[in-house]
Amino acid sequence: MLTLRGDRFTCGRATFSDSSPFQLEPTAKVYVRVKFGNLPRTLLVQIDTGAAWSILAPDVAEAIQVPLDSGDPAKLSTRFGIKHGLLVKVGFTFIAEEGEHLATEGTFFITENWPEGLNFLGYSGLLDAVRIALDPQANHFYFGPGV
Amino acid sequence: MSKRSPKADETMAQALRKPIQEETRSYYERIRELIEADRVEAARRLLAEALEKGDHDEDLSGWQRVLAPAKVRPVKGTKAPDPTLDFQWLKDHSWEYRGQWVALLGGELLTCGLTLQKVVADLEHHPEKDWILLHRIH
Repeated sequence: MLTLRGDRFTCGRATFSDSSPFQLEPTAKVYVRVKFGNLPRTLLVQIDTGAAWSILAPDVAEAIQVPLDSGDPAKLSTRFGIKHGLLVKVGFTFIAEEGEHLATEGTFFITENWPEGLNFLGYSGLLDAVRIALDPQANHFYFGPGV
Repeated sequence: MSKRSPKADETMAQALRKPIQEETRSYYERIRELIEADRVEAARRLLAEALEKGDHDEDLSGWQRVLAPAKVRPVKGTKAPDPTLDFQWLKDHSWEYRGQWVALLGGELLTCGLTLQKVVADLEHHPEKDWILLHRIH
């Protein structure tokens, strides 16, 4: 795995997709595979360091049985306008093809009236605790726990 | 060098003299406002201030949970297969399955459907338990 001045910097590596599978957004982005909660399948999520919050699609939240009663109500500005919803802690795992997976529990915004299956990993309460690195030539995404 | 008149000095001093407004809103509301404005670091600082002062009877445990850094830990386990074939399938076939969930493995379509629930149910007895990729095509 990647090292920084001799110390381990990341723990795992995955292949990312940079061509958007979403018709909504044709420009290149970074999509990685993760596993949410107890769902025994992988899903693609977009890494969005420019977004303050992560967003979980309501159908995915239902499938993994997110306890919505533990959420805190908030009104956030999103790419689809201002949405009322809940901020909730959700567990998921970055999937490694090399090295170790990274189990994570971060804060997600969940709102109704949001496109099915459209999930983002944002900065606050999630990526700000994860070390990430990209190798764009090889489409490799490296990840590890922050210090 | 011109001398400033005493009157001008007095005027400036008056302009700078702003009344100090006492904060009447609750910590809970002020933190919520910062969160909703995406000012997360400011929200964390205000939460820390509220917890340090402790001279209020507000329940801020929800904001403590929301604003806490993510918990992360490496996990050993079976390595995932390279998903390049699945990504290529999405490039080649997305337009045929717009508005549907698809389930892919090794570049092959296993099933598709209008809801995640339907696709998950279709795969219930599939022998591959870990690495099937589910994706909603918009």
